Amino acid sequence: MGEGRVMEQVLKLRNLKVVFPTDYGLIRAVEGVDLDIYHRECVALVGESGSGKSVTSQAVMRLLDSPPALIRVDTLEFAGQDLTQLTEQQMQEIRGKEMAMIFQDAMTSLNPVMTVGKQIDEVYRRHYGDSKQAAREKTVKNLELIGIPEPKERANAFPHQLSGGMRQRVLLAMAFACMPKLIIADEPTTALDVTIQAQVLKTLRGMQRGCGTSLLLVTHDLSVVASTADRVYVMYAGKIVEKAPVKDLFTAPHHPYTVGLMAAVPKLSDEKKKFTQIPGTVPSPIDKPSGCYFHPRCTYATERCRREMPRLTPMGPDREVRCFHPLSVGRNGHD
Amino acid sequence: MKRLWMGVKRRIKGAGELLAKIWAHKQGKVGLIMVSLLVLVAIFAPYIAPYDPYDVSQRTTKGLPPSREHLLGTTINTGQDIFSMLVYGTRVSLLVGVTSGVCIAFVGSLLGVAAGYLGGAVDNLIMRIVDIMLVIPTLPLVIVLTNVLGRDFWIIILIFVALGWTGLARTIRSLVLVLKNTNYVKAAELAGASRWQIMTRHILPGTSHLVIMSTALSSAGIMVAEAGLSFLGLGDPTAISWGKMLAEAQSGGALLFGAWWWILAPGLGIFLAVFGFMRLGLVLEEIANPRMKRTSSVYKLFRSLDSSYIEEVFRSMDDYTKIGVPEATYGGGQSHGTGFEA
Repeated sequence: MGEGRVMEQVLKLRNLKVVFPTDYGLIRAVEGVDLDIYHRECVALVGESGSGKSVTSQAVMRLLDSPPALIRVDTLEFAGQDLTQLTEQQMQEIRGKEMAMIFQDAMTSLNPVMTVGKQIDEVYRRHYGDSKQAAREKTVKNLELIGIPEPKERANAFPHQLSGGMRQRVLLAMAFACMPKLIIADEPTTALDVTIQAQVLKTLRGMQRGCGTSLLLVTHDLSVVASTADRVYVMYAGKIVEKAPVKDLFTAPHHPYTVGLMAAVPKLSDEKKKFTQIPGTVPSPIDKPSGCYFHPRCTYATERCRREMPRLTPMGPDREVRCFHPLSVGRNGHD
Repeated sequence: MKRLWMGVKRRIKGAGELLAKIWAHKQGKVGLIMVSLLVLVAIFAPYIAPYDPYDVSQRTTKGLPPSREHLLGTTINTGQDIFSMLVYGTRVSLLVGVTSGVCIAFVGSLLGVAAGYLGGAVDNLIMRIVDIMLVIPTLPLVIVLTNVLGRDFWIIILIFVALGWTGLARTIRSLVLVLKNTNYVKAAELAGASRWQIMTRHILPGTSHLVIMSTALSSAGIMVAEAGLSFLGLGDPTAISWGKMLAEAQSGGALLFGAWWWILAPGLGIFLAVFGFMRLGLVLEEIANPRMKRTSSVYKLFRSLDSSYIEEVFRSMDDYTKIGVPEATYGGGQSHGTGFEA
């Protein structure tokens, strides 16, 4: 992460809080999340379903409607610009051009009655005011870059005529169309099978490096994180529980939750017959436990964990952990 | 016997819950009050009406404006009590409207589901019939049919149903074509469910919001159509309906003599009935289709929120150490500290 130090900051998020009032009570989706993303960096946001990672990414894009959401944020800066002060129209200029999003399901993200080429053309026509021909030329070049064979012909195909991996590539092409400063990928490979997933991730990473964009990768898949991310934020029940460079996180996870997540990844070399799992379930976002949100599932929980919420504590270079009893601390920071 | 009673009890409970859901909507409340009022009036017409509406022998009461004796006045030519006529007219209008609406929903959804799900020859046959029915201009056909078959009350209902089911069948068919390809229908097929079971258990409930909406709308529409038919003199000549009242007002010279009450009363009746049914239909559709998000309810929820409580919740999310501590220190003062923290 040496380059991060000299690079400009693309995204600075401080103390983001999101709640959803419902008939059954307040859903505390995000509780004070800080995020930093630097130029050319790939940051992963990891967490289980319902940990608030998607809500966080949507809040960054200002895609959350209020109502139903109630949002508080201290700082939301994108490339030095205060996003909280922008009008919806100014925000639309930024979305797609400087900040793009890739969704999980390529089939539903693409319009089934428009050719994929036309859908990518739209980005250029909207943001650069290109003519039809100029936009199509760029589209074809873009599709070629993203690794689609016979891009000229493929541009005239409808989404259903393409395979799942191709569709996801089309989404990538659309996101990279304007060379945005930041791309938020919300579970970009979940709907794909493992081999295609690896290809798409490789393309994504390659494009990101080539175009000089930053990437916020929202995922629950640790193998994706290990192969793509530079830095990782681990989220649990709306709070960041651990933040670390990817190498440090995988060699020496500090938070018991992170340790549990890693133990749950099945390994080929494992002799054991059973899968390891974290006991219990994610707490209900309406009724969260007292103290540390993880304590009911944590084997190391003490009286203090039941009583108070630990703060996010710095643990060596570029690492923070929200735990009173961080694990494998001795091994940290030596590599 | 006991099981039957349990079933009845469950149905009653379900109906109660449905009424409560309707009541929770502002529009539903309006619709429910209007429609139940009409139903009550129709049922208890003989007890509500102060005079005999069919009595045309009252020479002394001709053309009286609304007063305490005659709430809505009397007719000019025959001296009938208009309020009593209005009360009795509710029976005809409501019965024609609701019966036709329900029958249309039944026939339309049945044929629509059959055409959509069974496909092939059945689909072809039903849809060609629909095509033919849809291109025939309705009003001339109704005029011809009433003249041929007679103007009996039930025949009029029959005609409305025969002409009204086509649109619904078409809409339902296209929805069924979508539902047919859903995984749960495929799963039911794989599990060996019969066609009848799949159509009634798995597909029909999925179309319920459309059916309910169409029942309410076509009931309202047919009330208007019936009024129009009676106005043209094609209704049942022996029964008093709102349309017939309007027709008589026209021929009896209500406009000429300025007897506004004679026109206003049936007009208002038609308006209230149609309005009530529309409201009820809209709300029922929303209940049957939860995906139709009620943004109004979200706003209502937002208004009811206690802002100090919300602020308290937001405050409780802060890391306690962050409060009062300048931003630069809690980051630990290492790496990434370029520019913004200084």
